[in-house]
Amino acid sequence: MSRIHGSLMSVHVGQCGNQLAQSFWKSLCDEHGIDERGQPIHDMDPTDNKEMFFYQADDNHYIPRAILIDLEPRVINGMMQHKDFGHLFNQDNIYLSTHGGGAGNNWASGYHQASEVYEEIMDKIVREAENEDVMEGFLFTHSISGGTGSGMGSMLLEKMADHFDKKVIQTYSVFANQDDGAGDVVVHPYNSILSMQRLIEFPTHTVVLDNSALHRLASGKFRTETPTFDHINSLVARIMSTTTAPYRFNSLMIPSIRHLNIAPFSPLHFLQSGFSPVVDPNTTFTRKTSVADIVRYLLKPSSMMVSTANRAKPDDCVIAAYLMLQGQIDPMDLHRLESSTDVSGLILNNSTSIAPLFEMLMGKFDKLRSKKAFLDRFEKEASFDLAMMDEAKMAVEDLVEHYKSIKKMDYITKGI
Amino acid sequence: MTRFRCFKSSNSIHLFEMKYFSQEKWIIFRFFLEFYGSKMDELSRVLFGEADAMFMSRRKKLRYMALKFGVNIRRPVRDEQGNKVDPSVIKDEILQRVQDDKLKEQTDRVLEFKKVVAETIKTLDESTYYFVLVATLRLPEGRFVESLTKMAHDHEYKELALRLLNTSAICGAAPERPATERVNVLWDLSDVLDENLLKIDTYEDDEIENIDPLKIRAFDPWGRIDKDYACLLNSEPLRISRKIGRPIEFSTCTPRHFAQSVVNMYRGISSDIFQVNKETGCLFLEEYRMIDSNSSIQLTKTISRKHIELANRLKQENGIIKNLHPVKRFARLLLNSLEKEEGNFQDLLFSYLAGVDDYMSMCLAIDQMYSAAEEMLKVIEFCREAVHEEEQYLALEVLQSIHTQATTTDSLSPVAQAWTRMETDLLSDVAIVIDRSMLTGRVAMEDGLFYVEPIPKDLPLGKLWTMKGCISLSIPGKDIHNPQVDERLLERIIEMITMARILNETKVKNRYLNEVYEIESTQLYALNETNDARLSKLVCDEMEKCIDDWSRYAQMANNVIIKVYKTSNAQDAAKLLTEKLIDEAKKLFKFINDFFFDCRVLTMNRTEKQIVDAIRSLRLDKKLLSQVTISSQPSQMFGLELSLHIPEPMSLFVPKPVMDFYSNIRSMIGLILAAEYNLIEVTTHYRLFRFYRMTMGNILFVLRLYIHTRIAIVWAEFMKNFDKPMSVGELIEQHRKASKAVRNAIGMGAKNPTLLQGFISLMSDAAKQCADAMLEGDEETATRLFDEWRADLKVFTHSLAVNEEAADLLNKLLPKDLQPSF
Repeated sequence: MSRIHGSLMSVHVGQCGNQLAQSFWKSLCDEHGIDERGQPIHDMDPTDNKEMFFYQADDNHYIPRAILIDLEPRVINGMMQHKDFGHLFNQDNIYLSTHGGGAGNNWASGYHQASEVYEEIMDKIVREAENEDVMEGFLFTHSISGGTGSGMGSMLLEKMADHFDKKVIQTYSVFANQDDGAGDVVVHPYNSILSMQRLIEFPTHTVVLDNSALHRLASGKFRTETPTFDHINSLVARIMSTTTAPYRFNSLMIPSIRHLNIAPFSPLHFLQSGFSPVVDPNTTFTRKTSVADIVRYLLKPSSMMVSTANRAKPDDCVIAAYLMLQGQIDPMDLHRLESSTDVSGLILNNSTSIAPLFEMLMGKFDKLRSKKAFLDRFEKEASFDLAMMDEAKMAVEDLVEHYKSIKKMDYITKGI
Repeated sequence: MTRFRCFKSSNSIHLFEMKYFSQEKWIIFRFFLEFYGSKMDELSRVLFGEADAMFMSRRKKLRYMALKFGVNIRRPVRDEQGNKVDPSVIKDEILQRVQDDKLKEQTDRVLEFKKVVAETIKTLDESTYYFVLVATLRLPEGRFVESLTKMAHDHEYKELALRLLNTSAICGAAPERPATERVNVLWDLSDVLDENLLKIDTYEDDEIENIDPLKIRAFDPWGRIDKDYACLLNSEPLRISRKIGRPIEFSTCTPRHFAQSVVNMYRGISSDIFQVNKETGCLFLEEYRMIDSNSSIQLTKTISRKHIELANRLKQENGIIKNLHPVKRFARLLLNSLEKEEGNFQDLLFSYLAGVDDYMSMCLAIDQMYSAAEEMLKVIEFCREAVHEEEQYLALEVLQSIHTQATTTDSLSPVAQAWTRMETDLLSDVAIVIDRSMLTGRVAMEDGLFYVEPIPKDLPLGKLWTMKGCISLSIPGKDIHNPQVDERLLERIIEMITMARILNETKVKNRYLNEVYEIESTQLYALNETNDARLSKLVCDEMEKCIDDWSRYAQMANNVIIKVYKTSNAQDAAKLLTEKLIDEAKKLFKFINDFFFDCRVLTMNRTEKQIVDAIRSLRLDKKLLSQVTISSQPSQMFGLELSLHIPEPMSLFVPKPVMDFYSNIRSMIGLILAAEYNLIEVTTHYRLFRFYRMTMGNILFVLRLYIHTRIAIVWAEFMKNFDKPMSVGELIEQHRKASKAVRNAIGMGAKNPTLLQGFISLMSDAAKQCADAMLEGDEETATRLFDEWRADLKVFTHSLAVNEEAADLLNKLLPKDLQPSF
């Protein structure tokens, strides 16, 4: 196996997943200097590894290696009609449901519809994967609180993990806004727990994108009480592009996604992220950043983009973390923590402090489940069984227990 | 000029014939003519024939006699050195005229006339012989042969000629001839037998005014002895002649003429007054010479003595120098400079003649000449010694001495400027030599300027830079490293030698220079006189600036040479080349950073071709990739070790040992990466394996991160200065420091960095094998290998702060074949 330049494919499922795709691919095109028609804007830079996420057509224009999947056409059609994306994506890599009705924010519906069409979708994925010499893994974007992204996404995760068992699957999973009255999907606890079971079992890493935290951040930084999807998506795109930057720009330390050794103990692979500085792209940046400032900020628990960050306990520990700094950085600054200019940073943190988020989810799940609220919507789907919900909840409970046990000193050496 | 001819006959009757030359008049004084009449008669007969001589007046005969004396004593034929030409030379010249002139076609007649001429003049006495030769030589063109031809038609001549041919001896005394048979055997000399004969070849400006001999009187109209005549009777020459009891030849000269003769004497040229002894080569004062009527023969001798001595010393020194043939270039430059100064010295001497018009001004002038000649002698002696003993003197020592003389000699001294001019000249010449040597590709410093230890021709350019310490101002065999040689100058010398080598070696491989560096040969070679003049002016300007700092002379000289070098054609050429080289070198360092410290291309389990193809796909600098050769060699520790072969002149910046070192680092990092890759494959949930994977993976990752970061820091620091202009030497030095810093970084502060790297390799290998075992599910093997890895780690951590004894022990424990060659 060649170990030089592998490739990654992105799979975007559901409305949220595809909206994230829009922001993510726009960011990638800007960073790699590719215009709306896939043509490079500037000269080739030896460190620019476009082939990580793009491939070249016969006329040498760049095409994103992306699969866009939705059960209703609104978002994807909107993307295709956008001037930035209309001529960018390979139309063969788009799956839109024939009926176009969506999943109705119902995990079971999405899961069931996926069970009927997954082969067609897997064909697209496998075709694209087979076109590459070295396919290293997948980026998977979805929301776990709706219907398509959670239900269909769960099915696709199962199938992808089964088919590409040695590939890395990294999901960017958007968790519902937990603030009271903020979410518009009443059954999101059911959807989330059911999706969580698949997230526990199949992906290599899951980057938790907590909508509550994102909203709060966007409100504060963008100076609006009602941040739009564009605001949120720009933050998520920032996280996605920064976490993939090492592979896209030939990092020496993390040359490929396989080197991201951030989840040594499966299933403890749920990652929190935080970045600094957070800048409204529509305003002028007036602050001068330094390595010291960035590092100091990112190491604070409160910088994590998880709504339960303030619930971190003293005994919570970091299992593994990556601090990625970008900008005009003198390597000596990393040791001296002196000022540089144009520095930004992102932290990917695998910490036990994420467990409260899952506990909160379970709490909400239990509330609904105990009242057996809205279960009929799920039961009416053919391939759904209530036992699946309970199983899923147990899986999440186990996960939380795992997070508790890993805090113990003898966790690594126990039994050895 | 006053000329005396004093005769003493057996009857003690003295005949004076005196011509007195002065600015106003000359007087012919005739005293006794009777006894000496036979001599005059004979001369006239020879010149005009028996018949004409018989009827010629005494006065006229006297005139010709006087003419003869004038020619013989005052106007002999002289060569360019002022020496009297041998009569045989004049005779040959005359005979050659017979050959060359219209008689060419009549070969027999030519031979005949030649014989007649030769035989005829042999019959004459010495003084007449010389006189006739000179007069014949000064005949107008064609007149001599015309006269001979006329004579040939004379029947009488024919018979006599035949008789002469039959009976005369080939050489020796003329045969006895009866008086009746004396005929005019000479050709017609009437054209030159006048006072004009005395004006030919004159080099004096003295005006000669002829005075009628009739005006000379011994007695006044009252029968009293004329005052002038009485003065003559009491004159010094007459007294001397009376004292020594024989005639003497004496002459007087004007003060100006004497001064001029002194000038010529200092120039080593003979004159009427000062002659060169043919045997000894020494100058001497002709006997019985005096300076006009105010002086005396004795006084003239006294005045002349010191000048003669000094002139002889000058002549001697110049003679020695003429026979010197120095080998070293600096010595030759010194002689060139001396030659120029000798010209200046002669100009100075002539300048002293300007104000000479009487005795007092003459004395002043010749005193000035003496002072100037004394100073010049010092200069010549100095140069003679420096050149004669060229092996013993260092170039800078000579320059220093010249400078010292220039500053200590009295500035009023006429020759003070000579030292300064020599110094400037020499430095200019040295600068030009440096410039030309560079452009002709020769080693710049040679021939007594500086000395460089012999540098092997095949010495790599990178190694050449370390030869800086071998440059000295010493002579082979002498252990002197002149501490005064400027460090910058040493670097410039090495730079010049390096550039010269690059230019010479790549001249043949012009493709490299022209195509890679886009330098045309014509840009590099531009010798011209304008540049030489510019360099000379630059040297003068620099010396002017340093005038207050000349106490540190060597430093000044260094500065001058450096400045010259920096603005010379050599520097232009070197600058052009170095700019290109440095640009390429910076790209090379960037390439090295990408190639060696980025180890995404693993060498394990790959063929060389696969590795090279993989490297080429890395989008490294294509131009550099095409110039360098990537090769691999099996390595027990690293599998296949990659190395770059960089051709000259780029190898100047990264010598092979350093390249090997970088290759070593690369291989070590690659080994760690390979182990990490293997560990990543282990995705099992089995606790034990997970533990092994996590432990080994994290340690190796941290190690790799540390090494990468340290190298990145060093390299970033090194490349930070690339925007600033720098010389080749500076870039080489900076890279040397960077490579040393990389070495220290890899060593992690351990006492034995080599041992440390050995353990890193061992750990990586153990981790890789453990990962393989885990993938196969072989717990026992995996556990064993993990324990091995842990043991390696333990030693590794200990070796970070181990003492020397322990280090020795560990070295003994570690198998030799696992010790890395570093």
